[in-house]
Amino acid sequence: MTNEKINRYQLFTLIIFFELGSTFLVGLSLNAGRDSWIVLLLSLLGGIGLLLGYLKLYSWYPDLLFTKAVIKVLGRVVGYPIALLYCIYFLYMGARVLRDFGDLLAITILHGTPLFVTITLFTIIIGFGAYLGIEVIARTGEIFLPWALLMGGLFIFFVYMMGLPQLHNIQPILNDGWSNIWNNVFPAGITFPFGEMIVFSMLYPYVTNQKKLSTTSLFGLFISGLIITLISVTIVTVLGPSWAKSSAVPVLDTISMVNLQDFIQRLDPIVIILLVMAGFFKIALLFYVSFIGLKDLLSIPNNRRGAFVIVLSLLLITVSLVMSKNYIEHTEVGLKIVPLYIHVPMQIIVPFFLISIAIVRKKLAKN
Amino acid sequence: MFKWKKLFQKKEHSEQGKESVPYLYNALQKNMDYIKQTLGGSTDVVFRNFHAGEDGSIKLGLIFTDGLVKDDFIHDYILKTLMSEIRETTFKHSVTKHNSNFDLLRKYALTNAEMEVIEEMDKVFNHLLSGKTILLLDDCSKAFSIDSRGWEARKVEEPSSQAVVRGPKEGFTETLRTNTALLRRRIKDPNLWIKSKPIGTKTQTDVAVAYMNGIASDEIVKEVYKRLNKIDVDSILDSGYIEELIQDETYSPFPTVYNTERPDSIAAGLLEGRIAIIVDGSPFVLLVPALFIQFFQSAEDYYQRADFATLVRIIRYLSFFLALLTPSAYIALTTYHQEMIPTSLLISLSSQREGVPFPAFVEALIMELTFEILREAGVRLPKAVGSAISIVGALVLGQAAVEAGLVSSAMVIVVSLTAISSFVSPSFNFAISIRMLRFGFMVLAATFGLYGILLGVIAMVLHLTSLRSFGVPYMSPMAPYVKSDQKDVILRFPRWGLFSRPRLINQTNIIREDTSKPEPTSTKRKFFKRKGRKKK
Repeated sequence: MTNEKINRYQLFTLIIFFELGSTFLVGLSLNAGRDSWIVLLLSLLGGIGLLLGYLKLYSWYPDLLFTKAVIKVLGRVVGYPIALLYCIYFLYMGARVLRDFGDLLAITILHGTPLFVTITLFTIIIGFGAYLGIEVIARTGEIFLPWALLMGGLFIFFVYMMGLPQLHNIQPILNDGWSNIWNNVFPAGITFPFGEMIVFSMLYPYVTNQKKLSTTSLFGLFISGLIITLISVTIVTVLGPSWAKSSAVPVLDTISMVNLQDFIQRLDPIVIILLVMAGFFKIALLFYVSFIGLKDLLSIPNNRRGAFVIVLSLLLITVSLVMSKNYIEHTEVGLKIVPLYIHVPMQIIVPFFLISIAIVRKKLAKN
Repeated sequence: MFKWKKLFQKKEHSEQGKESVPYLYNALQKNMDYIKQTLGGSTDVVFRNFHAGEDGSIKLGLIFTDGLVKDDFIHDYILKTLMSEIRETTFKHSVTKHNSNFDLLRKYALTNAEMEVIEEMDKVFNHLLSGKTILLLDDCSKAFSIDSRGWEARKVEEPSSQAVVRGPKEGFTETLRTNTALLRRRIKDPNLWIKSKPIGTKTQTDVAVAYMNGIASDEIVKEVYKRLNKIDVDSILDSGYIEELIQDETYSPFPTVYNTERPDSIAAGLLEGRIAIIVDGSPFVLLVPALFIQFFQSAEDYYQRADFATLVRIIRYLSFFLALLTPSAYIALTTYHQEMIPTSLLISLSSQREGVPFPAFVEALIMELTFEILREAGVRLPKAVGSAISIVGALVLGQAAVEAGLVSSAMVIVVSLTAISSFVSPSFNFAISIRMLRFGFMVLAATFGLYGILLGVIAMVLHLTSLRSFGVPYMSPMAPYVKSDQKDVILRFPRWGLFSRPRLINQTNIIREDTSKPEPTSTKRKFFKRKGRKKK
């Protein structure tokens, strides 16, 4: 283990950026229409439950990477493949988010640029960040967070100052019944983005103040959940449930409604900057986590990490390019198939078994 | 990789010529001859044989380098004393008591404050060539080295860089002693420690390290000495050499060592716990550890009122971003994101660009390069020709280029804004890094638009946060965030608010002052007077 350290504030920053990362694009539960905010709040509750589980597991195996803890709980024979699977899962998630952003850029600001080129450029920066380490990524987050909050604040401020949100867009509450809400909470709402907090189980060993770690992560998750809900409510009240559901990038549609006396208008860059910034942290963290996990599992020496970053980057580019043929397919897979068949096992089922086995082992050890 | 290593491998020093003599001979003439021969008969070194004592029994030899010594001093206090004044006194008694002429001269005859006895031949040359006078005796293998240094030097003048409207106008000079004296004048504290050692096998340049003992972190002081001791070069002609040899990261556009001509800036840095490196022959004194924010702080910030200083500082940060990003943002907006420009502005811009035959990137590149060429020419040109260049630059390149339809006038505005903004930074070497990065951002903007600029900024911040200066994170106190140090980053708190020294740079002696907020005491406001801070 290297002697890189991040402090609580940096952890909080990373959680905020990570949770907001691609959520603005695809994770706002806008499919639930009017009741998306209820869906998000319930999902947040579920996410907090999951996070408590991850934190419990970490408290039993402190100062260990999640992948190492898996091996320790399940033994080398069963644990090693599962740990490896987790690293691949993180990398796959990274590739998925990267693809989200590639498509976002293609449909918003870079119409003619090939997907390959935008994704490659993004990957170069991400690889650079991963090579420099978590300390540097965390500090970069620290520098960008005030700016991101400022721009996000401007976005909210202008939208509300224009009087764009219409309350009748979210009324009547629970019009479509509880089944609509439940279908959106599970599996999609809980697992994405809140269940993805499992990524931070790989980063907890780097945090300096281990005692306050749970408080910080829960607080970070809670705050980011509230921000996501606020944004979601804003979008639905501004655009109306059906437009919000069908729009490709609802956040951009919302901000483009802002026009203050022909003086403050075209605020799209604010949103694009915000999206790319948060997206960078999300992909960088996923990539980094998979990088340190694989580095540890494959026991790659530290002085070869540069070459290994390049290999992983090439893998990331390839996966995100061949993942799906077009944006529609990509989002459909991302919202319908991935949560149920990938997120649920990796975020809920396996950790559940890990915790159960760990409890049994503890009991056995006592006896 | 292997070949590179071989290529850059250190070659063994090969000293040519005859074998060197480690110690002085016992005979005067032999010594004089040897020294003369080693110096190759250089004409600026003066050799003088003379006799002293009652009956001229003591044979003496005087050697000094003409131009590096005070002539009057040698005439009056060495030659005159030895040749005429002592002759009149009888030494019989003393000679018997002190059985050698050497002790006799040292104790009774040489009326100089700074004097040293040397035996090694190396030292003889070293002292002789640094302006000391060497006095040799016959039948004696020791020599006197008398400090008679004094040469033509530049006076203490107003520094040419980092000028201020309000504040001290003294600047460092090329002489090490003058520079240390300028620091001593400001800090009269026994804890200001100044230690020096010669660096450079040929130039033997004195390099002094100054720091406040007890305030500067011991670890950083140790690190500075470690890096200085590692240096093995033949010449140090300016503090730039030292800077390049001790800096943390060579492959970075950002400077991790601060340099200034202002003694007050250095004194302030020392009192914050930083370490100054003064190099003989250079008016630029180095200060480490240097942080990113330091390049936005000017000495004047602390001499003007706090509110004004804060405003000026915000302008500096703003101009940093303007200098870095204006051309690239213009390129990105006009080539990729026309929909983001308000309609009326877009119409005005596109009507200007109608007749321009180049894409915005080429246009910007031409203008930026032209400006850089003009600037470089302006620096090197003699003063008399300088004004001609500015006329050519302003009239011909600005106005005529627009009138000829080669560039749009909006581009001229962009380039001028960039150029002016890049000179706002109080540190010249920081402005250079901005100028270098600007071209990179222009290329990114031309290929990827706003997205490219954004990724460029992220990469730049990643690089910045990975930098360290002597162990201190370069972007502190912004990242890692240090709450107590925010008082001197973007805002400049009033003086009573700057009560603690920056953390990370110094960990022990943190409290700087204990002044409470100044308030009129006679009014009833005194009831709300702040409590004084507790000293640690």
